[in-house]
Amino acid sequence: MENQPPPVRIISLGRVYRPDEADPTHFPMFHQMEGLWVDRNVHMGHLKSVLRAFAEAYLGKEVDIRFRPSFFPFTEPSVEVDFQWNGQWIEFGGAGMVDPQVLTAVGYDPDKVGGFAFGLGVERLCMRRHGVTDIRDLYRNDLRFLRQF
Amino acid sequence: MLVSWDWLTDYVQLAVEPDELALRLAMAGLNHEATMAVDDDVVLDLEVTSNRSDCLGHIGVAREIAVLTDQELRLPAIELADARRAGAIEEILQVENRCPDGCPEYTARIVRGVRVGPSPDWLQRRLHAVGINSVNNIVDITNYVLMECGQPLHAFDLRYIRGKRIIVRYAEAGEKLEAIDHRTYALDERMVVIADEDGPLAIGGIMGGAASEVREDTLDLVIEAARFAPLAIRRAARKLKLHSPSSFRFERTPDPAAVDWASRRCCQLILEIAGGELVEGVAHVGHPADPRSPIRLRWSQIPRVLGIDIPQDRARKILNALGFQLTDDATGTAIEVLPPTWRNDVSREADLIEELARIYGYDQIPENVPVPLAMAMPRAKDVALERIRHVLSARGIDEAMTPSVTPSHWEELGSPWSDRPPLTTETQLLVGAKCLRRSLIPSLLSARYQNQTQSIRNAELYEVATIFLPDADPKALPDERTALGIVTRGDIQWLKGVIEEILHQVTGRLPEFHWDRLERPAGVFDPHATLAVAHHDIVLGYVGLVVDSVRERLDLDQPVAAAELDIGALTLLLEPVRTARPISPYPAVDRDLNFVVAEELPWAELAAACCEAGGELLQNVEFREIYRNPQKDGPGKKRVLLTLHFQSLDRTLTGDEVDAIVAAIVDHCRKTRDAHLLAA
Repeated sequence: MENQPPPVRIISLGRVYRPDEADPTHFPMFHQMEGLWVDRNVHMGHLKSVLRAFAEAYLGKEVDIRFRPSFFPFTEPSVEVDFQWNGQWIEFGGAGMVDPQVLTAVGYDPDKVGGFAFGLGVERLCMRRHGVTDIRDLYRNDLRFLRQF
Repeated sequence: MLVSWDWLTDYVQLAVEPDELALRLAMAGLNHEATMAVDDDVVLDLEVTSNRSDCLGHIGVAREIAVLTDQELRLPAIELADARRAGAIEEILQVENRCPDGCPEYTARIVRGVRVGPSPDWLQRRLHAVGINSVNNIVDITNYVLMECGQPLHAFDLRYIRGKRIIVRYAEAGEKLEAIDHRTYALDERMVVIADEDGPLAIGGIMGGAASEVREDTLDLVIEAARFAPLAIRRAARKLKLHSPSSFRFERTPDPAAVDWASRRCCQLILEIAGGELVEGVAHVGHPADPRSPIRLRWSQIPRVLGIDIPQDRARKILNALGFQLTDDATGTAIEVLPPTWRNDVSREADLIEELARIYGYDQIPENVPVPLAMAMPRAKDVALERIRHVLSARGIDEAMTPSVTPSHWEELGSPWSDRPPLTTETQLLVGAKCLRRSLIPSLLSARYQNQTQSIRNAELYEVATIFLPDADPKALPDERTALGIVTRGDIQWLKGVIEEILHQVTGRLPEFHWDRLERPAGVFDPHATLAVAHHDIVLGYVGLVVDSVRERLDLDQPVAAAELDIGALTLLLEPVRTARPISPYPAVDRDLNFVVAEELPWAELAAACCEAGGELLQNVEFREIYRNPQKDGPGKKRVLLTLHFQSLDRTLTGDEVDAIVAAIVDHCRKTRDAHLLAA
């Protein structure tokens, strides 16, 4: 963003790290899918519509989506994204409208352009979808597990 | 943050059921973690994000509830009668603040002649509901006010403040304090202490000291209410590994106006519950927080950010209920909004829009907005990796995923790419793992070993991940490369064939690559049984056997072959789209040749020699087998059987024509590679 004018549309998928003890639902390394869209006339309706379209494509039709208020340093407003799956709300990731200070920091005018950003946890999605109950199974590389997929 | 249903009813009428309330709070920003029954009470466990220090007390949560359910918020009235006969505070206690940057504001009040004893039942019940043990009435009251308004307080026994002088200062090197948890903490010069003439009494904003704590025979109290710099508190709590309800709140900037309110509220409750008399006045050093500046909210910005409009009267009502003061702007297109003291997190227009959105409801935001389309194409690297995964899957090799940060004894096995020591992380990722790996192979060998321990023989695995090659300058960022690592059965010829297929599928120009023996050891590879594959001068990777010493060190019970490729370098050679070659309708002619060659001559050399002399009619040189007969051929020799395939695109080849080419090939092989046709 420092080197090019808007619009910017990015999907970035990669490993992320944090100092968690490994247990069935935590691992200090996992994957995140991050999205960023900055342009004129981008509002929160676009964010919700893109995430809903993704949820429907990935999980099949009839997926409800909801935003819960949250706090992240790079977005304002910030929300947690939940998908409703088999009658349960499942937390899916964080999202929000790009904080004006982020836009200013890269030389964009926050009164002219705006945008959204999201980060979805890949393991959580994958575990739900495939019925994996221990996140560590994804990193043990036991052939009896790998060969199921 | 645990909140008691019974406690909340002091401040707001709860007109909905607990489940409904929990849902509404979650949808407005206080995520619901659990609901518990404690005694006759209902307790909600709410997750408070780090920006919302105002909700770290019951009043703040009650305010949210009042806004969400359209109820009135009732705050306790405090009427304190200063008792002149108990004395004036300046005659009893002096306060000096030597570190206003660490503690911008410090206040103390004194209550004399209290009766320390057990708390009344209602107070014990409320603290119990939110998980706080009852100590005595004075300590319980300070905790109660903390849980009421979010402002931490501390009560000292006046007897133990030597010189009747409180000094707020940074600790001196070597100073220690036994805190009320009866552990002794070593302090440093960036930690704020509350001290008297002799030394520290409390770790400012974190925990009081054992020596000056309130006990059964305490009569006279000093009630501290202060503000501390959030970063200083955060640093000290981390360094001391001492996280208290007090430090938790000071790290998040509590309401500066609550300092005085909480101090008076605490004194009020002490006088009611423990008796005594309040000394006139308050010892105050430092300055109150700067007044808040108004924020301009342009009405046009609401639909611009949210995609929906919120009616102006509704927006005004929401902001008013949250405690914001509104002033109309002369233009009519905006309003000036003054945030309340407790909303340190709201300072910009975007923050106000979030306030409106979370109360108005994110469910009002549409989720069927047409999204303009942008075409996305896979990058060259993704194209290459897809072909690579296809090749590896077809050969039964499973994709693995291992942590990027490895233990140092794996890194000691080495990397073919770098001899510099690996970069390390400050915090270990998993137990013992602090190295940013320079090769994927040690991790894969470990995964192979883990399978071996489960009696899974011959786990053949690959991984695509980043390796981190340190720069000569230890402060510079590393060279981060995407690598492909493979470990398989100990058959180097088979694994080399896999790599050749990858090179063919990705680049379409396998003959351009050359394979060279290692000149020096490279990581886990056996220098006598490993090849480096290169394209011109660029080394793309290594294929070879894992050296026995490494295999034994890792307890691998079978020979292992390994390979590692630089995917970035390989991607530069990507053939994006393959072009078809014409197929000949004329018959092919095959000729088998059996050469005797030196043991050292690689197959690739012999095949190259055939191609050099074969001309355009030679379509393919096919390896058949190697056979050794030292009795007939002498030592250091081997026989290589191969088949030459000839074909023309425009005619049927004659036997004589092919014989002439074969003769030329045999001649060329003899002259250039010392390869002799086996005498018939």
